[in-house]
Amino acid sequence: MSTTHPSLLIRVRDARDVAAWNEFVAIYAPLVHAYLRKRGVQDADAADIAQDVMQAVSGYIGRFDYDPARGAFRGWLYQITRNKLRDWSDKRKRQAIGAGDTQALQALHELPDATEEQTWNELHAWQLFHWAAEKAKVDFRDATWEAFWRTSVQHEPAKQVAEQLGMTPGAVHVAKCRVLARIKELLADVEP
Amino acid sequence: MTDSACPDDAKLGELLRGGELQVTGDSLERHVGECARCQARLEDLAGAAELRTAELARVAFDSSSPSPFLDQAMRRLIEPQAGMTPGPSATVRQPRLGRYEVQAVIGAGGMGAVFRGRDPRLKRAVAIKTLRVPDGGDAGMAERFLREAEAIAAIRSDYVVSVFDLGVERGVPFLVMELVDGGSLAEQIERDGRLPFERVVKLAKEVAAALAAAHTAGVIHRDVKPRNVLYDAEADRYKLTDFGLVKFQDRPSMTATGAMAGTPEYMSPEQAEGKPIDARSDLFSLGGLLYAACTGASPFQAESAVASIMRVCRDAPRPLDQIDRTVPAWFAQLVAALLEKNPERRPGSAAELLRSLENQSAPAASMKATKQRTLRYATAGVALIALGGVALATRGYWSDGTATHATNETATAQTTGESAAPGPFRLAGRSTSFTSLNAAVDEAATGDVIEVHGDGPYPCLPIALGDKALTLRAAAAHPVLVFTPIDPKEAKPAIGAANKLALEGLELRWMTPARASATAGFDTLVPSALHITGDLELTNCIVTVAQRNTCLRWGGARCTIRRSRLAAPQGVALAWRPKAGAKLDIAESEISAESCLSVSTDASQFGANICDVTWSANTFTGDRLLRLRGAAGPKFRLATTAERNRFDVKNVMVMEWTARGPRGQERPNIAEVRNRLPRYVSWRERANLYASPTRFIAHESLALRLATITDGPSDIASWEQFWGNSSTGSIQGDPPDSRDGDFGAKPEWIGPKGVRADAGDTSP
Repeated sequence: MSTTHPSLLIRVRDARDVAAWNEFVAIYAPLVHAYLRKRGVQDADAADIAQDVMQAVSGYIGRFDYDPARGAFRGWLYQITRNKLRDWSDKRKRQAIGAGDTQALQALHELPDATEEQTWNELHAWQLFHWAAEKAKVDFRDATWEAFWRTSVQHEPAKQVAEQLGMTPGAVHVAKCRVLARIKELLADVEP
Repeated sequence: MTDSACPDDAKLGELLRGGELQVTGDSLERHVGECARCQARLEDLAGAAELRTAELARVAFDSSSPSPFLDQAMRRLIEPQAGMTPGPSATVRQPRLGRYEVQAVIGAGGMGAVFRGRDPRLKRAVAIKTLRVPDGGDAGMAERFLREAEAIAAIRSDYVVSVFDLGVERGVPFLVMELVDGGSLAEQIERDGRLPFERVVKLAKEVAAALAAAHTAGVIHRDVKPRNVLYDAEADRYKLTDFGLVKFQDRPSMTATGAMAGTPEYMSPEQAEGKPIDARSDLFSLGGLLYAACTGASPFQAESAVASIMRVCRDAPRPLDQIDRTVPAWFAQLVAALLEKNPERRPGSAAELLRSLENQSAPAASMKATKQRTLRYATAGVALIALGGVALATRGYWSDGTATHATNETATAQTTGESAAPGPFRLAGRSTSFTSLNAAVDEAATGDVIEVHGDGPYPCLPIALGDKALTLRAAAAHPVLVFTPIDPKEAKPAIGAANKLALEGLELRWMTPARASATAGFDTLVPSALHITGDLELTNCIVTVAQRNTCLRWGGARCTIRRSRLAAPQGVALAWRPKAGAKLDIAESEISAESCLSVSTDASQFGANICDVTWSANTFTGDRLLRLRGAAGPKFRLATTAERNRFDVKNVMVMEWTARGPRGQERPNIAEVRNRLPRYVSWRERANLYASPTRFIAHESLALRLATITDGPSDIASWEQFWGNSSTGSIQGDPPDSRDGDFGAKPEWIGPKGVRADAGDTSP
């Protein structure tokens, strides 16, 4: 997957493109937040760090620190997130009063790197998918979308879904694939 | 199906891009329904393989639930779309407003956004505030705004954030102001809980001076609140900002959604009622602000804007010196005067207020007296905590059976450690008194009554009663017990008991530090003020917790709550894991929480536990009245009887399942929820008052992060029909905010008395 189609990642480098920035935040802030929560950082702190990460990205992305040719955006954002998490955890350690590490900090040191990056990649895939699925909702009838969601995400048998939605099993399959195709299109506009 | 019947790729591609599907389906569609090969081909064409949905689903079920903190952070990051224009040269990255460079977003709210900027001509940093123009804009608004801003710019005071310049860019009005680095008073209160008394007096004088200057210039602020007081760290000075801007808020959208753009907690009653206001309205708001600085919260804090407004108009806040003894009586009286509902009874002007503040606090003697008092209180507090620590440590010894002299030690500490004055905690029928509740509890035997004398507040350490059955009773006053954890990271309850516990006339505050609620990211341990697995009687009590903590976690056989108030602003008031045959009885009480009653079971419980729930003459406020949850479906049946309650909640019953269960995991749709609900709940009611609009039945699936699904009964008649009841005498009322400021006309909305009067018409 590598093209130079003017994707969201390109558009967001233009500071005047406010819509691109807002979309960018809507996709990636929840990803960073979800990852930090997985790492045991509590909700409010995760939100603060996510905000830091987004602000850092807005600074770097315009100053060409990020070169799309050199690596996937996913990995680049992961590095920034890790750096910000480390800053936060260092700061927290300095502030910690006596009684030793919090559970969150312990969790932070225990996780091996490979698992971490895998977690990140999984969350990345899910977050993009989830964002695109929500966005695709407006393009389809409710039943079409529900057929897609229940079969491909909730893994309900097509036959059962078809019965409950009053569709034929074939229609359920077609509905599912139509929404998936739309999701693919939407995703191609984000990260080429 | 044979291969020859299979369509070619082009045909399948058409199917993928075609118009709406028909319900009956054509032959091609039917074929796809039956031919596995074509299903796979279709998925290939759609690119499903790359999306790897099978793996995604696993992540989906692990994903966290929606986070209000994240929402806030995102709101701070997202920029307003209008009013940002590129500078003169397109190569310059910096956007500009007028001649000012816009550098970063400092904050964004209902009214507009604040940016950090730079004035290139004077080469200084500035703050730029834009005002959001309502949709379908009001053409005259920008002009009115500019006229108002000119008046604001004319205010000259060291205690007012200076306005340097103003302008309109593409219809978006903006103000260029002094950049104050040091955060707002709201942040200080949030961070530190409350301000030391000397700082409160300083704050009072400085804000009074700011208001005096503004009122002299003919400007009424209209929105005095902690967020609008900035702290200039360099000059060590508080500065008031955002004069008069509240007038330009988008009122229509405010009433349409029922959500206020700002907080009404600091509004004056005349403002809340939409009456004409004068400078004395600002004095009322200042009273609320000083109250918050002393106590950590506005005196009119409530779950919703509407509830807050009702408190502003009705409630007389408890005098400050009763809450915090370090506050001298003169100051408590002054704040009470500012908070008078009738403007005539408040101080005449901000200048007059400033004079009396200066007269009161200037003489060295009175300041000194206050300081001494503060000091004495502080040392007493330390002594109490130390004592509590000893008591806890000795109990540890007890359970080891090694140090049998431990109680003697504790007793000695009480008699020698403190003065001759009797301590506020006494064991009924005995002469000894204790300076700390922890010491008294340690000394008490099962069945004892501990009397609490005086008002407090008394600092207490968490108490673990184990099997000891006790009664804690206020002797005469209404004492306040402030529980603080020894280790803020611990999730121990303020009082834990496995046997019978009765609390009478006490106010319990559970002070867990900010953000400790989710206990370092592991949501399993939400601290609760009371964790009782035995029976509980709560009479005339107030239990308040901060953050998302829980007031009461209960799992016993009987729980009776009378004339009490449970408040968990973002959490659960009563978390219940029901035992078979348990009885929960709540009457004449006020429950306000995100979830008022949360009932849950885990997979280890088998069979249906039939429990009785009785609610009468209570007021419930919050997001959900009854939350039903449990892995793989609840294992309980609640026989509920509700009469003469006021349900001011967004959702009456919310069913929630964790989708992460074993194979038989349940993720019912709303139709199933409607079918299942009567298996878990039976609902009998009479003469209740529901808010309008209310969602009667909702389902939430946390793991899938889907929005709440709702399709249940939408009015009283269908609600009654749902339960098979007829004419229960319950009604639905319009929330007062739908009628824009006219709150006086429908008194039945105010307090349980009104409910009763109203219900009298319909009940037999």
